[in-house]
This record gives sequence, C-alpha cells and structure tokens, in this order.
Amino acid sequence: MADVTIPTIGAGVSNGTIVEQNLYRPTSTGTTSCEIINGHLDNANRDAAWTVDRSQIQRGSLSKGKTEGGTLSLDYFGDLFPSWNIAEDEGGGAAQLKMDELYQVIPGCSITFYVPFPVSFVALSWHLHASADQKDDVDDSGNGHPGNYTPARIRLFYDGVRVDRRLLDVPAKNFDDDNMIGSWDRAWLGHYLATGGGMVSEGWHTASLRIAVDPGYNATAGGTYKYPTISSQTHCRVRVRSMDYVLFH
Amino acid sequence: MAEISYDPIDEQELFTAASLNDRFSAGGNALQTAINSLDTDALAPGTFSEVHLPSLVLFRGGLGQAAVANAYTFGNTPYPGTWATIDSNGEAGSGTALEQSLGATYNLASGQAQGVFVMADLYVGRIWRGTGSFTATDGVAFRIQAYNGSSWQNIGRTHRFVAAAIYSGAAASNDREIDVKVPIRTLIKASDVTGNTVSSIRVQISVVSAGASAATAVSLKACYLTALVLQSTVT
Repeated sequence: MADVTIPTIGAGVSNGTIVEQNLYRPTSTGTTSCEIINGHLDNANRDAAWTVDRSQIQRGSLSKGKTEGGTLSLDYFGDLFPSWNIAEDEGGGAAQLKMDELYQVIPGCSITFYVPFPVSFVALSWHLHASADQKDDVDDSGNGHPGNYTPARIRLFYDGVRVDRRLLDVPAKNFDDDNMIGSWDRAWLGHYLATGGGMVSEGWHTASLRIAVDPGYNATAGGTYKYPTISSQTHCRVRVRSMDYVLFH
Repeated sequence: MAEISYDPIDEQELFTAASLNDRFSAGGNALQTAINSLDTDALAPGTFSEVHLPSLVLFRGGLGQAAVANAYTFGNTPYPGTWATIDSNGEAGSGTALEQSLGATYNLASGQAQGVFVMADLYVGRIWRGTGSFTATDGVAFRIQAYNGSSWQNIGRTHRFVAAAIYSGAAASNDREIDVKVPIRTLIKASDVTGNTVSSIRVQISVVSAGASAATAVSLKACYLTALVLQSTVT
C-alpha cells in the first residue's frame, strides 16, 4: 500500500459529505481518508528516521526453536525387535509399514513442538553417537554374518512417518581381527527441512530418531535362526544425543 | 513528525476549506502528515507479528540424492589436484549434481543478506581398491564451493576427510561398508567469496590414495545439501 492522501477541499465546496469522507471513506487500500488507520497502515506510513525494533515484534512470530538431549547411555538389544529385519525394512509398502511400527523412539533424540501458524519450514537438526556389537556367529549355520551386515539401523520419523533415506546403519565393532572395520563408534549429525502441507501446518508436531536392532541374522539360505531359540546376539548402545528444531515464518 | 496535534477550531472561527484542509491534509499538524510519518512511539511493544513481517529467510533450497550410482576413483578424481561435484550418477556424471542455486545473486556485503547458511550431509559407504590391497589411509575428501557469478570459490574451512582406517589388506575388509556420516555446516560470508557475491552452492569430492593407486574407489550413499539465505540487515 502507500501513504494516505486526503483529498484537498476546494474553496466553496466544503460541506458535510466531503468532510465526512475525509474522515471515513472505506476503500480496499484505505488511502483516501483517515480510515487508513483501520488496519491499512504499513511500512509506507513509517517515518524513515526509525526502523522496526525487536521490542516491537511479538516473541515467536519470526522464528522459534528448542533443543532436547540426553547423555545417559541407552542399550537396545535385538530381543526387543523380534521380527525386525533389513529385507522388509527396505521392502516398501506393507512390509515397510510393519517394520516402521517396530522402531523405538530414542529419548533425548526426539522432540515435540507446537507450530503456532503455518510456517515456511521447520529445520530439524540432530546428533547422535552410537555403537553396535554382536557375536561373530549369529546364525544356526555356524557361519559368520555376511558382508555389510547391519546390526542396528536408526531412522528419522516426522509426525510418526518415516522420512525416506534419512538413516544411519551402525556397523558392528571388533568382530574379527582381519575385519576391524567399525572398530570405532558412529556419529551422526544430520538435518532435515520439513516443508509444505501438513508438515508445517498449525498444531503439534513430532520428530524423532528411532532405532531398530536386528534380532539375528536372517539367513537368506533358510534354516532356523538362533533367535528366538536363544537370546539375540546383537546390541546397540546409543550414547550422547540431541535433537533441535527451528521454525521460520 | 509523529503524534497528531489537532488544532481546535476556535469560537467563531470560520468553517472554511482552508481551515479544514489545514487540519486534514495541508498543515504541519494535519492528519495526513501524521499518519504518513508514524513515529516509533506510536507503536505499542509487540505490535508486529507474523502477519506484518516478512520471513527472515530470503531463500531456502535443498536437494538430496539416493545412493550414488557409480563410485569415484582416484584414477579420475585424485586428491588433491582434482575434484568433482558430487553427481547422482557418480563418476559417470550426467546425473543430478549436488548443487543448489540460490535463485538470485546476493551481495553479502551490501545486500539484505549477509550470510548463507549451508548444511551438507554426506554418507560414505565403502572405501576400497578395485585391485590389490588398500591401506588404512586410503580415503575421501569433501569440500563446499560457492559460485560468485563468474567462478567457483573454495570454502577452505569446509574441507573434510575420511580415511578407511581398516586393518590393511584383508579381503573381507575390502568388501565392507564403513557407513560414515560426514556433516558440513558453514556460514558463507562476504569475505569467503571474491566480489562479495554468491548465487550457487555445491559439494565436491576427491579420492585419497596413500599409494596413488588408480583403483582406490569410494562409494556414497544418500547425500543432502541445504542452503538458507538469511536476512541480516534492515532496509
């Protein structure tokens, strides 16, 4: 919009109607009468000598954020995920949904927040430190686990729904002298921008890293698994972690 | 000029066009003058909310790639001399580059934006040699570059390195994925780019081989790049 321009009254034509219209003449922009003060004022009416100050802005109207975190180590064993397996986790459709239900939210790496009005986006950021371990012989065949076996997988979920490809596979540690890959822990510093639709609508939202631990090597060659006959051989420890969100108007 | 100081019409003062205009539109204390130059004191604390103000983020953009199809090799992208922009089709190229246009050219010294916040999440799958045994110091390097309108500028502090750090030579190790995440976070400022301008961001890769073996290779899993142009000045 623009500055108000109140019409000048010509000599000899002043009357009640003109005076009244100078005071109140509603238009779409309100720029022809004092009616402009009824919600039409904008930056054009600001004196150029000053700029908007922080004190004049409502708290939380431009951005808002929070961080959650935890330092207590959390142990997850395969027994807690009795039917979770990589094949179905990557299978899509119903199989994937079935696996999603088995993931467990990691406390300290999950967050619930309120979006006060539809925003441009919500920026999520997290960090997590995790390590996994297992016995070398994890199936009934007596064989070691196959190459690239993933004992634990951590995924991002937003509003309870898996976010594709935002995952960390946690390799096993120290299971073979000749195969020392993974003899260190894994750190994951990640980010995700939630944009559009219901993801940024007004209301409560959740974001969380969730973990699943393979209860045992699901041999593709068939045969029974050690689990559940005996306890699962796999274990993942989640150490220090945090998650934060920042939303922007 | 801020507050409205209405000059009362005196007893027996004529109600004329001039006297009215003086109060409505022409005089120093006219309503029009006051409304068009609102002083800061005219605003109550907390007057403005999201319905009045523009976003602090002038631009946001990002892209992601699924697992990169073809590995990068020391033969084609040897560190430190040769770098390649990460491509969804890997070393073969012709896929989607991990490169984000900012939609405009921003002068980070004189414009509204004085910083571009960049977040890159890179995921290393395997580091290996196609032939022969590799060494523990075989690895991969990443960096972020910013385009200033005429050339790509290295952002030195964004260099990251990952070594295989694997017990050397074992065949089993050679086939293992190391699954290492490589995060890069940086705020690109005027001093980072020649001419103070920036219009695009990208992520590059180079393969490190301790013995300069052309067979040293690196595979990538899903990678992401996000850029936020932040409003930093008031205009």
